[in-house]
Amino acid sequence: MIVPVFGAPLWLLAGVLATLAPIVLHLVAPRPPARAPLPTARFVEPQARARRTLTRRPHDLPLLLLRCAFLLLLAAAMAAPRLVPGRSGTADIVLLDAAIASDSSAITRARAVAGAAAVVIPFEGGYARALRELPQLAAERTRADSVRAWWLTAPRWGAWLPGTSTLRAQAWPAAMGLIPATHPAARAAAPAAPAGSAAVVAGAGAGDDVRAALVALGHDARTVRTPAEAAGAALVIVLDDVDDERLTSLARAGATVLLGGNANGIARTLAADGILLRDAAGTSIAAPAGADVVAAWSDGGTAALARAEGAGCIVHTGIDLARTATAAPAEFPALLDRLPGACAPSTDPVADLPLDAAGRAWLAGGAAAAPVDVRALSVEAGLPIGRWFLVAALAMALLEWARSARRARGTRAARTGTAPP
Amino acid sequence: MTTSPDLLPPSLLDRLGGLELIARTVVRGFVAGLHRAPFRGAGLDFAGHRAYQQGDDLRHVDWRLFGRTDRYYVREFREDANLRAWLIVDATASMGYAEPGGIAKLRYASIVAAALAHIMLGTGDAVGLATFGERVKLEAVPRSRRGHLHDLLVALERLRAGGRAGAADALDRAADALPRRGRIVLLSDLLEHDGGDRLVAAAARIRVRGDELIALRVLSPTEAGLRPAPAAAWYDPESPDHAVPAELVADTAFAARVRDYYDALARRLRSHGAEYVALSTDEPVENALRRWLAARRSP
Repeated sequence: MIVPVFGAPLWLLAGVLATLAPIVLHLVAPRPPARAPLPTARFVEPQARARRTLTRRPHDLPLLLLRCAFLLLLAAAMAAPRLVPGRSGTADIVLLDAAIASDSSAITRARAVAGAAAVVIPFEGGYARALRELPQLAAERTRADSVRAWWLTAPRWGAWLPGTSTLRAQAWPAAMGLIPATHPAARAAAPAAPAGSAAVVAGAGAGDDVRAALVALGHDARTVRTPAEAAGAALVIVLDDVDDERLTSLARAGATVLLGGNANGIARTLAADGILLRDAAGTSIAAPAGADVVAAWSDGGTAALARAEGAGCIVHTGIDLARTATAAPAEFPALLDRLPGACAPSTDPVADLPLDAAGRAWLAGGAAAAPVDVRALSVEAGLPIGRWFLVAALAMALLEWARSARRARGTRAARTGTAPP
Repeated sequence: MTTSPDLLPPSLLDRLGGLELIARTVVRGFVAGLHRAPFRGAGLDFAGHRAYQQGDDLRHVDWRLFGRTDRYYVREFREDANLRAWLIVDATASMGYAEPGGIAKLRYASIVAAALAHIMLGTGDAVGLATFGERVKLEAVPRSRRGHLHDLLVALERLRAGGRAGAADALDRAADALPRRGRIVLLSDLLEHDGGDRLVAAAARIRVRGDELIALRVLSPTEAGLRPAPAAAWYDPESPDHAVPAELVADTAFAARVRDYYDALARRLRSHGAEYVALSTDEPVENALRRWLAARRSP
């Protein structure tokens, strides 16, 4: 879809106001008398001047329309019109700190938080430069008309805050998100903390794809045949149909138990539907008592329910995890990273972080947390069409001149009493 | 003479259909409003006696002959059916004018002519039709035979306004075609370019010969200045190059100037013994006929 945009839209307003002048003139100008037959015309005394009156209907409507069209087209030409590709929808852009861009888990984490369709753009040269380039990147790298922006970086407020507040307000007039990532140096310096242990409860020959995804996320994952063998794991993913009692006792011990679609008897594949993670408040979808809806399909159907159980929680999901792992390999790790997180009290990435008030305020931007209208930020080159409006305006001017001349000849003929040529 | 409220205005009458139906309707309405039949022969000649028969009017019995012969005889009379009349219809460009919502003058004149032909043929007169527009044309010579009315009506239906010939030539041509004293009825707006001089002279010649002349002037109220008209550049259809910008509401003397012209023309025509009747296209045709009746003279 192609849409017109105007670089200087105030000219359009000027054009509309300018059309008032010919409209008023056509309402008050004297009308030339129309010729009419009258066999006793020889007895009529000629009257010297036609009266000027304000009429309700403008005279010579075609001439008035030509004049208005000329003014409007001229104003449109001055307004620098361009044709640009149409935009629709909302997109997510994640600015990825180049210092940690080599960490593949960071990108996975980015898509897990910002959505599988998020555009991840590595940046280097500092936050200020990234902030200045962000509007143009948002226009060029997406076809959406509104964009949410995220930072994927290790928050170093000492480098962010000084001198960037004004730029921050000008470049991106909306809240931005932060996906925290540990700086590799910090990670290297810290003692190797054990990755979360995970267990996949599945039948023989199944669960390998899920296990591989967990390993990619940094978990120490193993495949087991029974819930009892999963004791001690922080995350238990159940693909098989198993005894609820065993799962409940695992959760009470502190594990997060994630039941895949097969276990529930319902199976939907991620590749066919979208999934939206909601926070613990869970909006318009009714949840059974004691459980919160933490994920929904794009058609509004419940995708996952979470309920606290002792020290841990149980997440029921209608996603066929085993099939999704093979059908949607790109999205699967992100999904797997998000679902267990649904047990957390809040999924607001900003509120979760160890940020001080200044950092939060910087991210919040002092504006409403809404996606930004891309066209309000950047100027897309597009195809300039001002010259065509100018040509059309000149054509209107020629037609107007021709009609005015003909009208003047007719008026002179009526005044002198001769037939018009 | 009062106008019956159920007489059709000319604009509605015109929608009845062809001239034949219109003429019959008009004549019926005209005759119905009269106290006595207008149909009186031009003259009655004694033609002889015949034997009385059962049902004859006793007023016609010749009692003197009865006294002499002891037999009943009735007098018979012969109507003189030899009156020849010309209907002259003005078909110049100005007659094509119709005021807004009104009937064209030529159409009005044609309806009056059709009704007159109907009536005069009904009395046994021979009626002819002449027109003048681009030039003078004798459309149908005076005849009284059966079927002649149809020929006259067809010729009237075919008339179209155009040209600027004068009425005087038509009067002269018609008068030349009358072998003996007859009647000429002129239906025209009488808007002569010379002020009517040639028309009056022709009228005088006709009257000198002994022919009867009746001028029926046909005009619309707007042309007479009796109805307001908006501002326009007014032009005579017979002289379209010259237009006069004016608003007729503002020109109050316009009606007076028109009236003065026609009054002067009427005086001049009447001074030569011609009759002049002013007709308006907004008045029912039956009224026009009654005025014709009042102006008609028996030769």
